[in-house]
Amino acid sequence: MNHTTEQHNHQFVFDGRLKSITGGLALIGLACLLATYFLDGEYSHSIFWSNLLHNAVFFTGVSFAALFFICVHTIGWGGWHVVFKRVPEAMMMFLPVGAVLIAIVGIAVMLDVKGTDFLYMWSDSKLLETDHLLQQKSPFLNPTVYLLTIAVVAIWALFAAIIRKLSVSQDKDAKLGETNLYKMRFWAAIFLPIAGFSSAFAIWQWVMSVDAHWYSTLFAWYSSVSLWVSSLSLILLIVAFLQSRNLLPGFTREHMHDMGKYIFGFSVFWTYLWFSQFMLIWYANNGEETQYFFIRFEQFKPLFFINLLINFVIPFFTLMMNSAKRTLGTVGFIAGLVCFGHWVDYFLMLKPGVWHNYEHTLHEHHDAHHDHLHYSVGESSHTPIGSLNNNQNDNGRATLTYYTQPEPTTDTTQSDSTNTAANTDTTATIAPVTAEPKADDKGTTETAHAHSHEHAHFVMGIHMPGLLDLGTMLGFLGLFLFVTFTYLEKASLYPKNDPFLAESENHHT
Amino acid sequence: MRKYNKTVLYGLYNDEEILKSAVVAIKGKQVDIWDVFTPFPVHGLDPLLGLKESRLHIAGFFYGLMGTSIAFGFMTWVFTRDWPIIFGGKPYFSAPSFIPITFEFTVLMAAVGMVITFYLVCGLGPGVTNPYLDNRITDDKFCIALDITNYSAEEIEQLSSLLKNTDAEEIHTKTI
Repeated sequence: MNHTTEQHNHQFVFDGRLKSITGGLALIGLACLLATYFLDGEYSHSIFWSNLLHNAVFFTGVSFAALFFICVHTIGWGGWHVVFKRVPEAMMMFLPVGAVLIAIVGIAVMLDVKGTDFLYMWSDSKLLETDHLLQQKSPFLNPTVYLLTIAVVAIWALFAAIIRKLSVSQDKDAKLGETNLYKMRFWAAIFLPIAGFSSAFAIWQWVMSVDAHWYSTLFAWYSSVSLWVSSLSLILLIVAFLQSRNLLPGFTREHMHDMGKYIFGFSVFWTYLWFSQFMLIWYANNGEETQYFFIRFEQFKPLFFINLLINFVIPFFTLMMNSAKRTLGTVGFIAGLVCFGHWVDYFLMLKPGVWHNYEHTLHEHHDAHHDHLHYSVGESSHTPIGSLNNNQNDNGRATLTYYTQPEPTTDTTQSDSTNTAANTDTTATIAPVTAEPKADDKGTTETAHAHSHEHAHFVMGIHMPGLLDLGTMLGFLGLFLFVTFTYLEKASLYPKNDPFLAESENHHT
Repeated sequence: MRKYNKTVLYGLYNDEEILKSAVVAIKGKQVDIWDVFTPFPVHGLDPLLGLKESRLHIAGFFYGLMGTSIAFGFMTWVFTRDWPIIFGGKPYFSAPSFIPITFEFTVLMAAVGMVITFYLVCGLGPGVTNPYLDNRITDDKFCIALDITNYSAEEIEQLSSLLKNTDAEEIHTKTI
């Protein structure tokens, strides 16, 4: 069995056609990105910068997760993945490119390029003078620390290069098979704890600090699992592509079954983390925490549910069946869907924050009286009670009370309605996720609309990924595949001296 | 003790690989295998025996679905109709807060339901004892059993030589 497999063709060739497809995609993406830059002047290039950040983070993260995949399996004496280990090994070589992409964003933030203020409020020096929370966070949230994330990606890239080199050089000599495995275990053992802490650090800087007033201790877990699922899906899709060229004869249904289980299991795990984060915040209903979900639920409702649908409901019910995990059609389809779904998940992590920051700054120019806590919580809400409080209180805490309990002293009509509400289902109005304009609040609803007349309620590229944003994603995907294929070509797909090769070829689930 | 009223001819094997090739050989002679007993699950044995995939997990899915609807339905009824209470200023019908219990109850129903179904299907349960062919089947021996209840002495002789040819260590007859 092994003998015939070994004589099979294992050399992937990154031919001209593939080069033009992936390169073409990358160029289309670049064109879309540039078009975004010229078209989103109205929004001060916030769409351009957030698209660049979104895709840079997502694809760097996928690449990081591929490195994590190799390290986790190496350190755990995992053998089943060896027949296709060259695929994640090639994917992790995107990390240097990722470092460059992150550096572009980082340097732009440091130089205060127009539009980057909306990515990170903490980089806005004018705002920093008056915003107490941002001042408190500034030792961590500042351009210098942000640039450290480039160093983090560079360190990941270094580990990727070392581990890949060790793995590929196993092919040269039968004796190196075992020695290099031990060396890889050594490097993997060093990398994993570093990866655990540094990925959280990087995610906080890149993604979580977009909502600069907000934080969640679960966030790094949740967003890392998102990357992990996307990476597993992309590994499976690239493997399926290589199989269609008959280059990976060792990859059988059994391996596919395990990859399917991985995607199924971690989709559930992602949901678990998503829900854990959501439910605690929803239940505690603490203003500065709830605002994160409030914005997403009120202004991004379609995406909010699409995210859960394609990342949990569809993979859960589809991959549940044993036979579905063993059929390339279903696993491949779900892998593609989930990979896109987690891209959407990142979209939903970034865009609402960026949009909020943008609207916030607009108000900064229009109305100098506003207090900053005030902005951080209630400003983007167009709901009656939120605006009622905005209008009637000069006190910055007032908007926070929208999420907890309306202050009875401020207005008698309001306290009356609160009392009535306490006895009926209309108590829902103090829970942000169910807030709806009520008949009693008609007057204030009008005020709210008048107050927010300059807000656009739907912006393509913010509230929903538009064609340009999808094109940008395809462009980054093309770049990612270009790099991956370049490295796939450099080594045989058949790691003939890996001590676990026989185990992997005889893998049964 | 449960009674099968069967006379069984069985061969004991030392290794799972020998067992598997024995199954193939016996099946190849068009002889029906009554059952195979192994100390642990042997990978790839089911397809050789021509066993269909178990439907237990499908039952499990429906038990789970039952758990989901019972838990969610019950909590909805309690908190909206039977005894509405406001918790933390939330509406009576607060779906997110029902999810953890719904999840737990789904898992509980699926697990307990599958265990009960499995016991019923296999004829197991507290106080039930099933006849066994050989003590060592639960230790280190692999066993192929053939039903020879209405067979003539000549046919039984043929079957035992068949078992012998497939490298059975021991061959015995037992009525259970």
